[in-house]
Amino acid sequence: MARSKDISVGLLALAALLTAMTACATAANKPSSAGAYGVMVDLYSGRENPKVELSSGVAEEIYGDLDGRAKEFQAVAEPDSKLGFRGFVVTPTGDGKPVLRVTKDSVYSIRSGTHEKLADPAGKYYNLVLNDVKPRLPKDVLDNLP
Amino acid sequence: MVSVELDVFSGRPNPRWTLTSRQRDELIDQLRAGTIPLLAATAGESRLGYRGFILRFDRAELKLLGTPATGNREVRVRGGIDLDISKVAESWLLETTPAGVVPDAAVEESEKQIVTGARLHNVDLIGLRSDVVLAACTIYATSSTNFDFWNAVTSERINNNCYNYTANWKTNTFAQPGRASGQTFTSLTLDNIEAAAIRDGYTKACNGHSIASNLWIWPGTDYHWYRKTADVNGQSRWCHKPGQTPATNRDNSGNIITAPVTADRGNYNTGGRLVWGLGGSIPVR
Repeated sequence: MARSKDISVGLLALAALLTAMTACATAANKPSSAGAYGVMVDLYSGRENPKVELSSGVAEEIYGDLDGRAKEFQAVAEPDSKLGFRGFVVTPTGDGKPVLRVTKDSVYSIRSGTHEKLADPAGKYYNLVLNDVKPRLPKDVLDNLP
Repeated sequence: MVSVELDVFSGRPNPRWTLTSRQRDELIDQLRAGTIPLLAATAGESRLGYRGFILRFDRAELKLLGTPATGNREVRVRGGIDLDISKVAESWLLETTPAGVVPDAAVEESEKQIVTGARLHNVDLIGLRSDVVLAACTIYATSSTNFDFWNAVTSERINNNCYNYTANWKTNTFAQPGRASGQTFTSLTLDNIEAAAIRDGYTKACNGHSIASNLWIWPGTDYHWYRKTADVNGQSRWCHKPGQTPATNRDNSGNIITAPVTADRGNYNTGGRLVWGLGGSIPVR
């Protein structure tokens, strides 16, 4: 009887381990839905802009980093309306974080219509977003990004 | 045969020439598409200098255009019905001038006046059939400086696009050409998008008090529309709404838009198609 129990415990442990490994693999390939962050590629004028999800890990890294640089943001007017790529618009769901507009050289933090801007000449945040969402964007969109 | 007369002189005979076969075919395509506003040959400005082009058609051309032999065989091409779109047709006609036919000074004067545009108000546009006289074309123009209707409410601003703006019809659906008529456009070409807009209710000829909407294409990628708005201090104005962003009177270089053809349109470099919406709006969806 003791042996059977040991085997059962062992099987349960193995099942748990396999479940955990599968969950990790899933998380690596697809953004988690919990605390989802949407990204809109603001590119088109007539057609609907593409929308994908941003991985939670990347989003939290970006928001955490920007929180630490809050003092560097400066109040600005809304950017001029232009044709062509206008940035990645990151929209968090809930928890009071601002909407972000991420361009090749800047990050805009947007709350209730007011804009604050952080210069990012190296494109750090742009590349963070792009590298995460790239696998989920169609080729014709990628071809038209800076 | 299509002969062209540049109406520019007062004392001397005006320069005349005949279009080549290729030029004629290109002209016929434009006439069939209804993209060249035509006036009666006798309509015109009382001024010295450039007054437009007079086209004369043979029976063969009338037949190609599907026009009866009794149709108008002489028409005038001149922009200035409070809009600039005929600049494209006039500039094209000026380019067909054979070498040595028109003195340089006359070419220069014509180029300048084509850009300036005439100020012919409430003229009757004509079709190529002599029994067709279109109602006076007047522009339904909204403000070129106040865009509160489009920009004041964030949710409305982001859910209405260039097509909503050009149609002067807010839907909060990011309207698409053809969707209102049950057949959305299927390819990103001028012909396809224009046809979809026509299905929504636009027309190719101005026939009354109408909005004027101008279509451009980023080939294979996207489309964009402009709309003629109210002149400001005598200067022609066009405005637009690039996607979710605010409606504006400025182009990609930050300059006021006086004509889409001369504006900085980014990659939207194919187009200039003009369609008209009678009554001041088109109920797009």
